[in-house]
Amino acid sequence: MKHIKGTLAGLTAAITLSAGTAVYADTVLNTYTWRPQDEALWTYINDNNLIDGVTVRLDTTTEDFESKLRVDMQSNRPDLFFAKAGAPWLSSWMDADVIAPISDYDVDLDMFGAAAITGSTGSDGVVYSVPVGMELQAILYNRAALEQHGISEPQTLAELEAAFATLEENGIVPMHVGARAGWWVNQVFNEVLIAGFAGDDWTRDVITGDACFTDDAYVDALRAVERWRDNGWLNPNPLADDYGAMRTDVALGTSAMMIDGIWSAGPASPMFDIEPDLELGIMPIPEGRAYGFPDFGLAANPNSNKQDAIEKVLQFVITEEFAQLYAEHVGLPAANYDLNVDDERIATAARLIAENNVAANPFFSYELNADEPSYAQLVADEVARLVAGRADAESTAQAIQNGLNGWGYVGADHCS
Amino acid sequence: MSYAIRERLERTLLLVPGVVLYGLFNFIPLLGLLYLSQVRWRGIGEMHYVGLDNFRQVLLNPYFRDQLFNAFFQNVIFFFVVIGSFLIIGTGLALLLSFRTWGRKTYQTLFFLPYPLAAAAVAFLLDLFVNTRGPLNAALTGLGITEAPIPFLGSEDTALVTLALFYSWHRMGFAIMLVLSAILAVRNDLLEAAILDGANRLQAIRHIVMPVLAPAFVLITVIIMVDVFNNADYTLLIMGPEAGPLRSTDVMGTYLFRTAFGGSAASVNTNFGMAAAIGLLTAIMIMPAAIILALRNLRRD
Repeated sequence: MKHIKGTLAGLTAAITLSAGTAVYADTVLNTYTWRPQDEALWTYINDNNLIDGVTVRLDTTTEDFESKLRVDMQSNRPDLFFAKAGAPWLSSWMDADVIAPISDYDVDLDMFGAAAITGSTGSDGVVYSVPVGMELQAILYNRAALEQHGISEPQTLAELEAAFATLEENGIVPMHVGARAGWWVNQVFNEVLIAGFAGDDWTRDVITGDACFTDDAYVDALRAVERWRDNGWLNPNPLADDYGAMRTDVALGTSAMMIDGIWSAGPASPMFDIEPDLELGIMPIPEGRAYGFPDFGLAANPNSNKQDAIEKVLQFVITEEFAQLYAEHVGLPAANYDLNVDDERIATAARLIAENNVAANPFFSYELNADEPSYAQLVADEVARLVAGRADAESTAQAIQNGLNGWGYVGADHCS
Repeated sequence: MSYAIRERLERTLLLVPGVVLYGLFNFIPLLGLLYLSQVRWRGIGEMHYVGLDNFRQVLLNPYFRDQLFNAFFQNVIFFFVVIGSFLIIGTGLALLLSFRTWGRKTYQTLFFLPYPLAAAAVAFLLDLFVNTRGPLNAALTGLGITEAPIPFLGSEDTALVTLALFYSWHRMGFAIMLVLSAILAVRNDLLEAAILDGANRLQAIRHIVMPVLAPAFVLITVIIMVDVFNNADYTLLIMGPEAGPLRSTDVMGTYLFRTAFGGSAASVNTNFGMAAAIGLLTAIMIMPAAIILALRNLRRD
């Protein structure tokens, strides 16, 4: 009995000591994110002690992430947080002094491309997050649905519209839009159209106010949507279908194409739960630019008392080792390295972003989103109206222009 | 101590807990809301005092003003659909339940069953039910009633009414119980006297039961009015803060939420101050009706 007691006491002491050692071994950084798809990667990094002396503990909030961040920042939490791309999103955290300039840390951002850095830059020109992965938004098509009707990947706009006509004749919805989701309309659908139709000059100039939304460059993109709608190439009830319904129909093959991010074609996509044998092709609007952007960046709380550990994490995130792990675990190309990956989807996205990316992103520009109604809000409202047949291309463009002029945005004097 | 003083003291002491609680949880927050409505604040960082600018923006800036009027007008429609179905269907079902008919208890349980369910669960189930791929549309097209599925939540013409009917279905049990309890309070001797005097069942209901039900109707109306103008659970759960399609399901609650926390389409330019101003304006808009109804009820008592 005495031996048993002694053994138990010894075991308890050993467990307590080891647990205590484990706690004191690593600095734990509370890190807020809205992305559950990144959890496996960070578990792997922690389990393999890839950042010496630091454990990154992810706290995932998929809904209303900003509210949680806003409330918890008032009690100086978290240490790190995932930051959405673009100056408009960064602005409220900058104003409240709860996001640190990356220049405060010994982190070299030279390897990152312009698109990645733009997404992490605030309205004051300072970089506030380390870009992590690149996203590509494009046309995603159900390969089987196209092959069944003898259609190969369209290379020109004319071929795309000929494919639409063939699909429609065969009872398949050529292009499915989930216009019930405002976020999809403005940051996916409209931005891919702009990259595809409006080109570099217009996207650069519209941000500085030198180009207008009523210019043909943009109106032509809307005219294409109007044409697709009037020819019956879009699903019949676009406002009834949300993002999930759009992906379901493309997975089932009742619709052939949709405009979406490559995350939908990744291994964790629910589309493969619907159709395990699904094969998705990826292409930008034919003859147009691709739309790649930094999906998010890793940002730091300047008021955290764990600045050394934060710096270690940021230094690790910019390494090629992390980029490779990110591609393997999350399935997206890195923002700073040209990786050699086997996955065709990641390789295609990386190639399109490197070779053919559009020069600027209106959705991320502070100049167009600094006040209400913002460009993002106007697009969500007006383009949904266009898709639903309540407006034509010209009135849609004019409504967006008028809304921005209402608060005197950068192009208000130039664009009537 | 005289009886009058003692009575006044007792009355005051009895009132104190209520007044303190009301003051702590209602009056002081209301004062806070008054202050909040005069600042521009994103929910974090410094508050900027802007005086009455939030009210000016909401009432005079066409972008915000149009949303306000649209949300208010649609809230009124939402309210009338709900209260109409409560007073007509709810009263009808309560009357049926008041008769000593076979299976009365079972029906009573069935009618009340949805009420304790969580709004999120009800919203999810009903969303699936009316989906273009859902059972309702399958039945309608299967029976040849419609050629194509009806986008109940995807059309500006039907989405708001569909949501109001969701609300009515979920909370119908509440209306039925209130009306039923009022019906059961009707004095039997009066009903018997009416029957002896030759009144039929409908006449007895119209001249004896209905007057007794009036206070219950007013109570339901006031409770539902305050609820539907201040909450927007179904719209937020199903349509999101953007209140689509094309803002056709926007009500005061969604407008306020979108202003404070941002919509799903754009969540950067939030302003808690303007949201507070919208909340106060909502209170001002519904207060007269609520007060008139409540006073009328008191006078009747």
